[in-house]
Amino acid sequence: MAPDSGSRTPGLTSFLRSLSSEPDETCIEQFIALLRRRQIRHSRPCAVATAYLLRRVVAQAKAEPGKLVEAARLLQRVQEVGRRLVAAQPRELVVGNVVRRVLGLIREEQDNERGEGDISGLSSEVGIESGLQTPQIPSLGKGDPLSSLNGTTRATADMQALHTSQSSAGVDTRRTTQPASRPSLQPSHTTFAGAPPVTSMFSLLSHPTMSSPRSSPAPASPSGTATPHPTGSNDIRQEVIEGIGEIIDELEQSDEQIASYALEHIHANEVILTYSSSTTVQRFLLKAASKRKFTVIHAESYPNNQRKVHALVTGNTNSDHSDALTTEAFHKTLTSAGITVILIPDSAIFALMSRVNKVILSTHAILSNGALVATSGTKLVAKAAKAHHVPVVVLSGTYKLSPKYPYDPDMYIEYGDVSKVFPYQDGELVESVQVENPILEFVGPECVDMYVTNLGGHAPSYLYRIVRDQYRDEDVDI
Amino acid sequence: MDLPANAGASLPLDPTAPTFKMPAQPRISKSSEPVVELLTNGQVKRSGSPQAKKENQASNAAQNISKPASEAAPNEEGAEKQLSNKELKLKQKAEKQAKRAAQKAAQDAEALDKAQQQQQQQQQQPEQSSADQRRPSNTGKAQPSQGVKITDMTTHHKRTADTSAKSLPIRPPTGFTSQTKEAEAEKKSPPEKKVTVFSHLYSKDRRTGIAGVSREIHPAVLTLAIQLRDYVICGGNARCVATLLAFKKVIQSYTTPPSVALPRHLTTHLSHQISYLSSSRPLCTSQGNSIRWLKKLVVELDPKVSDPDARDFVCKSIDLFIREKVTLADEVIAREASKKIVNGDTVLVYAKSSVVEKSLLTAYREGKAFSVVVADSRPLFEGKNLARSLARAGLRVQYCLLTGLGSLSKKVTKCFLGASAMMGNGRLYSRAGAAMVAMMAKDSGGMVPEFGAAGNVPVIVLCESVKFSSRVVLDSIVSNELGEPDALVEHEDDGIITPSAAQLQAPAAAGAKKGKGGKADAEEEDDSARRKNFGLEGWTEQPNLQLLHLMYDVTPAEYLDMVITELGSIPPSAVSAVNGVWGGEA
Repeated sequence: MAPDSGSRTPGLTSFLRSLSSEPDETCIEQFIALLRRRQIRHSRPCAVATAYLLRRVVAQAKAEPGKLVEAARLLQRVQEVGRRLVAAQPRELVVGNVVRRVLGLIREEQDNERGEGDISGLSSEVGIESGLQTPQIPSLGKGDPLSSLNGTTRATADMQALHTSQSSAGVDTRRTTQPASRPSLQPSHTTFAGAPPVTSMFSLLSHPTMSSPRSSPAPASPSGTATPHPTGSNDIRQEVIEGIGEIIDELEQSDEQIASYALEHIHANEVILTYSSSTTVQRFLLKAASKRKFTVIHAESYPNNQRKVHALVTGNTNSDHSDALTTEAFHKTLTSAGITVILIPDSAIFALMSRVNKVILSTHAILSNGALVATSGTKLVAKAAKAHHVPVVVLSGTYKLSPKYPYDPDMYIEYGDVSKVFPYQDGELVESVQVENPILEFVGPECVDMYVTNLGGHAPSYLYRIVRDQYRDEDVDI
Repeated sequence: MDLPANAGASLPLDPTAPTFKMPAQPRISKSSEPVVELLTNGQVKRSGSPQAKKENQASNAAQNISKPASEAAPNEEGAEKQLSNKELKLKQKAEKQAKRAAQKAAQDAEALDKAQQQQQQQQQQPEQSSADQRRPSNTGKAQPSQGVKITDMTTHHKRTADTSAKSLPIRPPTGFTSQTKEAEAEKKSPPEKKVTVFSHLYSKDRRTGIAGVSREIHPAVLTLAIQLRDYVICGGNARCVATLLAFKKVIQSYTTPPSVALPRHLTTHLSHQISYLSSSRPLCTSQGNSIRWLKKLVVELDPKVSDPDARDFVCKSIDLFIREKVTLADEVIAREASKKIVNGDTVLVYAKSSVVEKSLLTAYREGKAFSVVVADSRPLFEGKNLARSLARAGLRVQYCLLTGLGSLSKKVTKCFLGASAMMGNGRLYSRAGAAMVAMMAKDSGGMVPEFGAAGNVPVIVLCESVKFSSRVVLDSIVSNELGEPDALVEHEDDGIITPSAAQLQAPAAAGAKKGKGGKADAEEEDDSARRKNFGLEGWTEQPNLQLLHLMYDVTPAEYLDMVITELGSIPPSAVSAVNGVWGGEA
């Protein structure tokens, strides 16, 4: 049941390897099986696997001669796959997150296509969608699309566009291409103005592929929605695949990006308490260690994670760790960077908290209200910190940010192998005592003082904004 | 005397070992000219111990035990002589020595030494034995080190070679090497391995062996000291009772020397025992209180009373004390506490407390339908014993570790905590982790469906008045007790059967007694293959890495709602009032 060791065990690496050779349906089944058997677990491996899988799914999606538009078909296909994946392992919220991101990508491309093709039929829909993304735009575009103040509207819209593209560049960390997909709303406005090439210089530049096939975008093509230009459909797939590639890049870089904020949050001579094993936190601290001297108190998170914590602390790599992504970070220890590390059992957390300046935690997932789904015991740490008025900082890539709201927190708790608490050999106890070993735990947002994502530091109250920027409302429920 | 005792003791870090070693190594260490250095050492020492020369083996054996410094000097002389005999064999060892020395890179004046050495070499034949002694130490050191110097080796070999050859097979190198390793580790470690915030809590001679104990210490006290040290006797009440019983034996076998008044002499006699006890493990509050009571009792004895009568009186008083303050007190508390439990309750308890256990069992016998959540933590796993005994009695028991508390504490409707001491300012001094249990009960207990909402479960401390202290503490750092950090290292004992093996040990050893607690952990591990890499075994060699094993923590009074004592149930703020009973603590 527990993911066991050995290089032969199926896991992320073997899955990614097989991904290129197998047909997508097999891959999906394989991934679902891996998720169910918990052979791929933890946020990042799940996210990476999902992203690669979806890329493959998108790439293999066939253009059907049927009635559906390519984008819509793609959307449907991804949605269907996404539902299956999420159903396979609902507690790995990142799977859903990545699926949503991909859906968002497709929708954007869809919007783009429509925007170029059709204006009138779209105005309402665009308005709605834009409302999801940038609240101000709808009032301009939807409320009075043909206003006499066309020029000013356009101007503001463009400013909005610039603004959103900037923020979105930050938000999504899609350095170059993201802005490209963002201004998707603009065409609709600009076409109202009747002079797309002029006004959307920006979009022209950023949509070379889109605009090139039709050098002179028709102001109004009546059947915009229903025109599955072969070129256009190809483009969509291409764009989406590129977008997924960027998501994958983001997944790989998020630790690094988070670590780059380390020096903003750690001062010299600080005493930092961290909990459980997290490569994100490790890299964050290592980054800070390159410039500052401080002390780290590491609580070991018995019984589910203490092995990894020990490995993290001592630098003894566990060779069998199947996730290549995590092993690399094991190579350098904080101690080798000159940081004093004090390893404590979980019971000493409260006692030591009075000397701690800052608590830095990682998480399994963040929900839209800022609540955490994290390694069991995180709540202890967070509450103890709260009791001592010690700030709690949570590090997390935005990919862990889920648009779900925790109506039923228990839903996210995962229970693990009981034999880690009581070995089965202890027959008497095992029979007579009910043993609980939650792996995950729900931590309310009130316990957290700050989140540091790959976009920077955020107050808990700001998280909803990132959620909105990152996902489309249509996709909250896949 | 002390050295062997220390060696026998389980703990790797002997403060004494390094100091001894230190002087020896630097002498040898000169990297540039190891041979010379060695020789010089040998000369110096040799003069001191020329007699032993011929009995290599004997000397070897002696070495293992004896301090390296003394040994180091003689080797070289012996080496010189023997080199003629068995150079070839010993060359290897000599090389090792050389490397060793090089590594050490001592700073001593080598030139002088060299000159001396040469002279000596010519002279000495008989001193081999001393040389042998030296050898082992060198070899032991050399192994870990990587060869650096070979230049001087040739000369070196000759001197040392034969001796080492003989000695090495015979010697138990392990003892010596381990000693050296430890010493090396300690060289770096002692400053680093102690968590600075807690440096005031590291005791110098925590573990006392039997060796070297003064005659005054009564065997019963000796036994008790060892039991305390190894956590065989653990828990405030048990320690208190065991101490009193031991002292009872002391008093029973006590006879007042002539021309001394019993109250006076017995007091000093007792204080010797007490100080010995406290050197094995710091006395807990209940011990301190009962000892204070006992001393007072003895001091106030009428000097005119005959010895037997006085002894009788004291012993009876002790029995009475145990009965009143512990046995009956527990009864009263258990009865009182069981009244707090109502049908349908879920009671959260932490680790193990004899009173809590008794209370729960009492309530169960009274027919209350409730369940118990036992929280527990590494490395002592005291809760396992509690869970076992409760389950045996038939209670519904849930068991989790501290980490699982976050999700489990929601169902809890009451929280019972045992105490090691109640502090004057109403704070609870109890097993490390109790504070978090109280906090979680306060914060998230009580069936609150939504996150974060406070359930405000009543947290009730069960504590005999003998555990009340007038001391006032704010945090868990100023006064606390440090356990063995090595208890945190998970020992995956041997190989395949690990889980089961650990299991067998776990209930017996780990549950209540902490010393072996670490072994219980091995159970959890899923795969034996990677084990070696995973553990903390090498933590002492890791610079900057410190392990902290804290025994107690202090729960803020805000988390406590009630303290049940045999004197009645009081709010934590009233603890200081109860302290009046004890007249304040030192």
